[in-house]
Amino acid sequence: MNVRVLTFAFLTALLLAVPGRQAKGQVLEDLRVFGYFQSYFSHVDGNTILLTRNIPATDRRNTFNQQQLNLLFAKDLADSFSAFANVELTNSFSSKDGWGSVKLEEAWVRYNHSSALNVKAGLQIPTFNNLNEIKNRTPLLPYIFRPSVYEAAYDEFLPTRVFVPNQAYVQVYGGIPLGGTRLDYSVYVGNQDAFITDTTWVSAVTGVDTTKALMVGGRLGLRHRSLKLGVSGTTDNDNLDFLGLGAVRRFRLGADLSFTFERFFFEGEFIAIRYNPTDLQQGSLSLIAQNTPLIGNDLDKFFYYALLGYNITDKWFVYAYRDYMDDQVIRVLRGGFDVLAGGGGYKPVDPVVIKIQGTYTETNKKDHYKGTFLLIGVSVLF
Amino acid sequence: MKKWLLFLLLLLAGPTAAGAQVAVVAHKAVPTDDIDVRRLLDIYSLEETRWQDGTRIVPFDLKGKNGLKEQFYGFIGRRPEDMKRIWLRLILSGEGRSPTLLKSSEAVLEQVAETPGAIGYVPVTAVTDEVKVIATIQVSPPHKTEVHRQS
Repeated sequence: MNVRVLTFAFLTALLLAVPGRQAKGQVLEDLRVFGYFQSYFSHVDGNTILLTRNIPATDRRNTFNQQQLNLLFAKDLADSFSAFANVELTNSFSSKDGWGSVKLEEAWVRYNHSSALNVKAGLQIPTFNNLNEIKNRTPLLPYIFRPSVYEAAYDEFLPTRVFVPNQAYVQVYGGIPLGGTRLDYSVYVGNQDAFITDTTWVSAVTGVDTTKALMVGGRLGLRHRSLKLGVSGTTDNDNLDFLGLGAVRRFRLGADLSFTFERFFFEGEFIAIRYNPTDLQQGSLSLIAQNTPLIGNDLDKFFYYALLGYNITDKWFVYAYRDYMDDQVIRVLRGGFDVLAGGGGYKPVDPVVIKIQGTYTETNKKDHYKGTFLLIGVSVLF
Repeated sequence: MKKWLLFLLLLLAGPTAAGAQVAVVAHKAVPTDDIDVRRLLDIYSLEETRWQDGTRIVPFDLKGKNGLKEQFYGFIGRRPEDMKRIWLRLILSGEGRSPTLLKSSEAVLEQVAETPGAIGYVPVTAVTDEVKVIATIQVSPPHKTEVHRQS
């Protein structure tokens, strides 16, 4: 049976299993079902001189998109235990038309000993910088298109997903009060994002990592009033089979800073990714780079992002952000992928946010792309 | 003329100075008799989820916009809108649920009295013997707020 059909059947069964009266209850046994979605209209005006060099192409279109729909299920299992599941449907998902995808983003159980000690087990989005955990929570985000490495829409044509860890399975975390400040910590272990499944391991099912390497990471941060800052890191192997390199050791380092001041809000972060290929792997990469104009000789990557916003009233806000992504191994991204964006939003009621965004993107090399996007969208919490 | 101005000022300041005392109330079995601003902020930000004896903290809040709510959150250094953002992040991350919203101070008193580990806020004048007052917030004109701990 088709996987999508099975997924749909699973979701339907879950929804039917929830009596209506439980949605707003307060007792421990209640299963809370809620979610959110974001739809947008976009006008794209871009032109590109891609790899064919002398043949410029124009990309001009108008379209609507059901960017994503997330269904969340939360339940307090006992005084110290709770469970949470998050199913995400993206890009106007339709199994009939073969559009978009359904993904189990999270399914975990948490043991809450105190605010200083929590343990989560099961599929989860690990803590990394400030945005990673909430990158898909559209009602929390002022923009429609997220900063490059967090934008699922870019992931279909740019390798943005590798910048941040996407799946942990065990995480220990908490916040320890230090006077008026709080020390946040988290340590986790999970799978590599694009792990290599050893095909000789005949009993392996899809979605499991048959290599010995795991992803290990964490974040250490401080919070004082609205000021939040921290450093994050992970170590794992990246699957570079598409370059014939196999698994290459990878280290991610991140830092984040965010605060509010009066009605202003600021968020910023950077991520540096360093690879540690063996001599053999580096030799192979150099050979590929010499013979393939698409590929660079270096695997390292860099990203930063800064946003400044202002809450004009409790219902209106404006913002502007810049993000920059540099991927040395992808030729079109070697000179950097620049994004400048600005926009605003209006909340007619708390669960509904109408958003507008103008975005300018540019790559800096000869094989360049320049594009402007005008986006109007709505994010709804239900 | 000066007398008239003084009279007018007193008239305007009078109701503010006289009103607006907020009592922070808790279930009678809660193992604390007083609470400070920092701890209140931690509790209502859902950072602190348990009392010293391990009982789960159950915070209650008032529905809609009202002066009492503004005064309470102003006292802990936040606006109600700031709190909504904090709660939304936690709710959508599966890390917590926002305080239960109740329609009136009477409902807050009733729920706090009945729910182990509960905490809420009501006007001082509404306090009953069924709950424990763990702090009193004195709102003085024009924007100065003081807390009177119970111990």
